[in-house]
Amino acid sequence: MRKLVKIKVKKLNKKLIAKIIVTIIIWCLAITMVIPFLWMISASFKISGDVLKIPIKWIPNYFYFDNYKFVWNIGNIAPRDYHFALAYFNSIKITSINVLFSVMTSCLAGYAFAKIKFRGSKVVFLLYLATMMIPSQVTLIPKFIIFDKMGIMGTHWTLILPGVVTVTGTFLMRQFFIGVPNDLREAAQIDGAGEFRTFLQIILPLSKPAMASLAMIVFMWNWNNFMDPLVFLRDWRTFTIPVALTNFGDENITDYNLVMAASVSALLPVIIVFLAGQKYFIKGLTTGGVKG
Amino acid sequence: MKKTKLIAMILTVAMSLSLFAGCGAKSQVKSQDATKKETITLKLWGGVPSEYGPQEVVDNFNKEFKDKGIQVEYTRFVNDGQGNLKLDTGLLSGGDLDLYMSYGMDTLSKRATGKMAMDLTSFIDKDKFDMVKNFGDAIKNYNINGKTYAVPETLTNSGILINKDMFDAAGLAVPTSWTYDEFRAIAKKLTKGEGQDKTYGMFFNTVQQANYAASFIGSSLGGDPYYKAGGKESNFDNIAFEKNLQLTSDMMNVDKSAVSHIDTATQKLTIEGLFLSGKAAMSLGVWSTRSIKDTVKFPHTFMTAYAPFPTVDKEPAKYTVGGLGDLLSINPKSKYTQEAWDFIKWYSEKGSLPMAKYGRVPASKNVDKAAVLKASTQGAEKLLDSKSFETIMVKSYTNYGVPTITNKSAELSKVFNEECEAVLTQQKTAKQAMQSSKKRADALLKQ
Amino acid sequence: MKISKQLRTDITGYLFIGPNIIVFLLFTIIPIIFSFVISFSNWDYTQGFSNINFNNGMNYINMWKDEWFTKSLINTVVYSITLVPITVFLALVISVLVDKYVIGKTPVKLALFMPYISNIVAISIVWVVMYSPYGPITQFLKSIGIKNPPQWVGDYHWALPGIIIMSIWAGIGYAVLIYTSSIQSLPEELYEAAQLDGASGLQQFTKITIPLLSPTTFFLITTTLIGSFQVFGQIYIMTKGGPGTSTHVLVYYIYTSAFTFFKMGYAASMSWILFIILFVVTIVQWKFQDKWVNY
Repeated sequence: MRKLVKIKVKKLNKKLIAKIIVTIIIWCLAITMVIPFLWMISASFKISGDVLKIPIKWIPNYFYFDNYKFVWNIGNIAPRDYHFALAYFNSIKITSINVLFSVMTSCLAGYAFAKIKFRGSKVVFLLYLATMMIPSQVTLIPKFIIFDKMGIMGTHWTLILPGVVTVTGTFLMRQFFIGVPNDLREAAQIDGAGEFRTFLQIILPLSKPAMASLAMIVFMWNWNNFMDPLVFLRDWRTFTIPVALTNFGDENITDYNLVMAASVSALLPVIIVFLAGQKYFIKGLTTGGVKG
Repeated sequence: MKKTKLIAMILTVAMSLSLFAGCGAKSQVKSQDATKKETITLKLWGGVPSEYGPQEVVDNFNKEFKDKGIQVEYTRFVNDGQGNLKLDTGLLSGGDLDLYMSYGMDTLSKRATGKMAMDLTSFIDKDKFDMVKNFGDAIKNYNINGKTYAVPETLTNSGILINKDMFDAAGLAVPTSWTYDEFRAIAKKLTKGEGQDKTYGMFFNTVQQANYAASFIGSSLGGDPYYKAGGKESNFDNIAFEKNLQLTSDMMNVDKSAVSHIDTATQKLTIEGLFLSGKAAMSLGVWSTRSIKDTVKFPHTFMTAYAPFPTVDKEPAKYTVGGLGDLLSINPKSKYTQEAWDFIKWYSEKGSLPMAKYGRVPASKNVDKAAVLKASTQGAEKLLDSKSFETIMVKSYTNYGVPTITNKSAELSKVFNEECEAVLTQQKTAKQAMQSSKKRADALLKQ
Repeated sequence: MKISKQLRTDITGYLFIGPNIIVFLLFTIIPIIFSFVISFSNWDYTQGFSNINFNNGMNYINMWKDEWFTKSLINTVVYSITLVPITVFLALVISVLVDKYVIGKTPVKLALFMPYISNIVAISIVWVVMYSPYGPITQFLKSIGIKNPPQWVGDYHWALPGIIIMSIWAGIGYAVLIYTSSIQSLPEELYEAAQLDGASGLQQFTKITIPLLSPTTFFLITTTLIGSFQVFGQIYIMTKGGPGTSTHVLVYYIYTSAFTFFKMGYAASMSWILFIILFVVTIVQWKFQDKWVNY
């Protein structure tokens, strides 16, 4: 008996040591992952000449807020207004609209594909699946032409109209709804509720976590979308953050401190949203991905 | 459950409101235009930042033309691939761009053949706007298929920037003509120090294009260096290319008297950072006058002088590198082509003078050269050498090399640029690079 | 009039998917068809619609003689073949370690995931600066004794590896996340039984964890591969395909053809080749999964 305990204690100690060692290694790795961000923040508070000075001062002696003032056009420091605030507004506007509507359409369609046995549903869904494999560059040029003929080139509609539907989102919601047991639905239908009412009053409340997850993912995609605004927008009044950041970078590429301040400003919303809702975020990304 | 519902409702309402606000604003502007009727706002796109001249030009115009109901709004686009793409898509798709600048015959050609630039012949004839009288004989070479698609607004003379103080200290005179060998020797002489304290003889400014130094070739081969006559075969087997590439590569990698291309590209070095800070005695990039005059952002006290491009040997240059630039065109889809033409006329006759303050020399002969020189050096008498500035930048020449062939010029540029990069990063010799360029370019031209 | 139940169900179904499918048709299917059609022409957009010259698939033949295309394809394949195994394998190892041994899982997972949610523009810019000769990476390498650290994005041979490293950094968080949530649903009993039998940690890893996670691995390999073939943002911002053509990738060339040379037809045909490659690879993977994936 005593021998067993001794072995158990030995094993426990071994495990603890292993745990500590691995924790340290992994923590170092985690810190390495975050280093570029730390460097970015640190550089955004320095003056131009100090950014690349060796040895690297991670925490600057001073906090030079002027970089941010330059980016945000506070005070009279910048030669011109880079309209970051406007870009923020544009990004928020487009992203919110797209998130709202694409969650709605994905839920409706995802539910239908999962539960409603309508003819052609399998074929249509396979079509959706197939297009997921087609790289977005294939549709970029035709969309360009379609928008041109529609007369909406250069406006936000180019980002909103296609953005209110997401094929991947539809797929995700379908996976989720498949997992919802049928008894609830059957019970509601026996009670005489129509399909839509069943959906609205019974199923939808259950899917709040999935919807929240989808919302977060769509938020991220839209906020970071770089190619479409790059090609479809041209007036500075319409720019979203990624494009404004690229323009800012083009004009000020030599002043790294400014570019870093602008980058930090661009990244902040996503990181905040992510930290606030990371539980849903993580859930959303892992649903439907596991079973294959 | 109630809370999320409330939030969702608020969000929906907010979104819908913002959508309508956007639509509403648009329709408001439209009706305003309808009632006011008179004031037309032309949209002008150019590559120069507005604070370096364009804003002043536009303000002057707006003041003068307020009663006539024409106003102009300037939008700056960065004159690189992305910026020009934006301009091109704007021209292709809409009518809310009235006037724009092209910075090179190849870009203008593409736009002219693509129906993105208006044929100005009817306006010219109607107003008897004598192009030759206004811009000199050289203008004839800027027509495409015999028609005029743009009015040039600047003389794009080019040369080498010289740090006069450094030259004086070394007992060197500002060159008025020099060979590749002399140029190389001077660069070597002016290179001092090591590491972060090093001063270079020359900065080739290759950050955007590895083959920037190839502009020297224009003085011997003229405006169509890439092509043999007829444009069906490439000219990359001409020894001028190989010699030029060899010179640049040797200065960077052998003498180490020029900032290496790798350094320039990885650190994104600029004229302002290298030349204006005194770390390089010479540089390419005469458009930087506006930076030279900005002593707040780029403090320096030395005087900048100008020298022509060196030639391969003692033979004097056949051509002057440069010509007419800042080609101003009208968008054929514009609703106000007459008003746009009025602007062009005004700009060519007197309006462009403010641009001279920042180094853009007006092309029109109607603008007094003395006034231009004065405006250019104003406020920077100790920073700009008036005499050499006048010779190199202000004077208009008669032997400009004008580009006339633009067949697949974008592709050829890319090929040449890639091969240059290979040489400057020591992957190939200049000879190999030019052989490869010739092969690839000829294949492209055959397509 | 009695509408059959099936018809009623059909109508309901299509109403539900209505808005979704309309936009899908308009902005996904139609563009795809359009793109397919013009890929058989050598259309130059600036010449207008009337000038679509169909060249009967010559694009698909000519592209193999196009040095830029072949180099782009090679670069893209090299990029993917390097990136995918490293990312997936590293993620697997890290996830297992994090799950079993690490204290403070959540902050670690968050840190690993941060690059994934960030704007590609912002992080590309940061990495360009970090790779520059006076940036932190070069300084670090010098401090551990490497005398001549590579020039990264300025160097022919190191530009692509530099991009790969950056991309692994950016993408590994996603893989780690997928793995960790899968690991959490692995049955404890198997491990306990193995431990009683005296299996070491490593044995447990190879004999239990890896096989059980194979569906997830399959998913990750597929999605990472598809994503890696479509790399663009980093290239556009950090190297623009250079130096020379060392980081010239397929999507970058498609973009250049379409928007710098205005050769829309040619660009479209290249994007279809990209699709075909991905399709074939995915099908092959799908068939092979029987060999090694356990459900």
